[in-house]
Amino acid sequence: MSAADQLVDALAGEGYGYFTGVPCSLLKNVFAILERGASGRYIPAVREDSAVGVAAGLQLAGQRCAVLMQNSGLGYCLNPLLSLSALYGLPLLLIVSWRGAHGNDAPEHEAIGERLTNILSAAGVPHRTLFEGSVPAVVRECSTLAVEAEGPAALLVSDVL
Amino acid sequence: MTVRDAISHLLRRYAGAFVVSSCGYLSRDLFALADRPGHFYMLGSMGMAAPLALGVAIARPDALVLVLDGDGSFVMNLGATAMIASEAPPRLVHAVFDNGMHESTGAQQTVPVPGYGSLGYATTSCAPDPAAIAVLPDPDGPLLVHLPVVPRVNGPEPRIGRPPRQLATEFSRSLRGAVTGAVR
Repeated sequence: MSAADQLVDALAGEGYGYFTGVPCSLLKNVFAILERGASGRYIPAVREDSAVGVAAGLQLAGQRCAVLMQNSGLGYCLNPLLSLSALYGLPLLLIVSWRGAHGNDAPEHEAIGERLTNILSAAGVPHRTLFEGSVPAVVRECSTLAVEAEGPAALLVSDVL
Repeated sequence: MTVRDAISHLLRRYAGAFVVSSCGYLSRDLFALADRPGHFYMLGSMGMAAPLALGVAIARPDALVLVLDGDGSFVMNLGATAMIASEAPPRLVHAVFDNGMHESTGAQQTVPVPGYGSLGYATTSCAPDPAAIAVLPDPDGPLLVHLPVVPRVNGPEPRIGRPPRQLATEFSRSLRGAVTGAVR
């Protein structure tokens, strides 16, 4: 089973029936699975902040929705992460690709890539990196972090799945 | 038409709807006029009322969902209208209160919306007065309502008095427990 399949299966296993976000090439195999629709409902978003908004609405209605994005999109949604998800105490699992993690990516990915964990820490967003352990274990841990934090938690993906 | 009159008549026309209001004075107006568990008051995150309501409408396609947006927050996130048009929730009403200004921040001019009728909603209506609101259609697919309103004359309503987490819990309970937004 591919790592992308493992990730989607793990999310489904944690009760995520809805997915939204903006694609990244590192997550292209994940988005391909989501677009097929067999694992839940995928709601393409125009921008990452709108994805956080949609996920908040679903969460309020009692549904789990994961938000997938490239790290460049983190800046677009910093305000709703803090003044929507965290302010209202809504758990939110983010799957964030980490372009620029290894320092030899395209130049446009370096600025946020080298600061990513600092930005998340400064925003009070707990985070884990995929492949720290088995995929299901890390997904479960990160999802639990979001529930315990009553706000966003980020699962970082630094290589193509 | 004043904002308060428009809200009152919308609440009457779409009685029982779950309501999501945009940040700033609009949320305060709704709170002051009718504080109900089925109302969700955005306190920040300008432009996010519509996406949040879309999430609610996707989870609850059976329920009537009413978004109260300002023209500034609406034009800030026209992208959300593309998502609403694409997802096409069957019972979502997106109401835009158009006073032509960012009234909550000191009446600065807004960027005009280029065309309400070209955004892909199933139906688009303009309701300039209470009589027009009273005869708005039942939504059959996403419904966009343009509401020209005058600026507030008596200043804003008081701030919302309950903590955000309590507001979210009340709305969430209402959403998960009721067929419609129950009256407190």
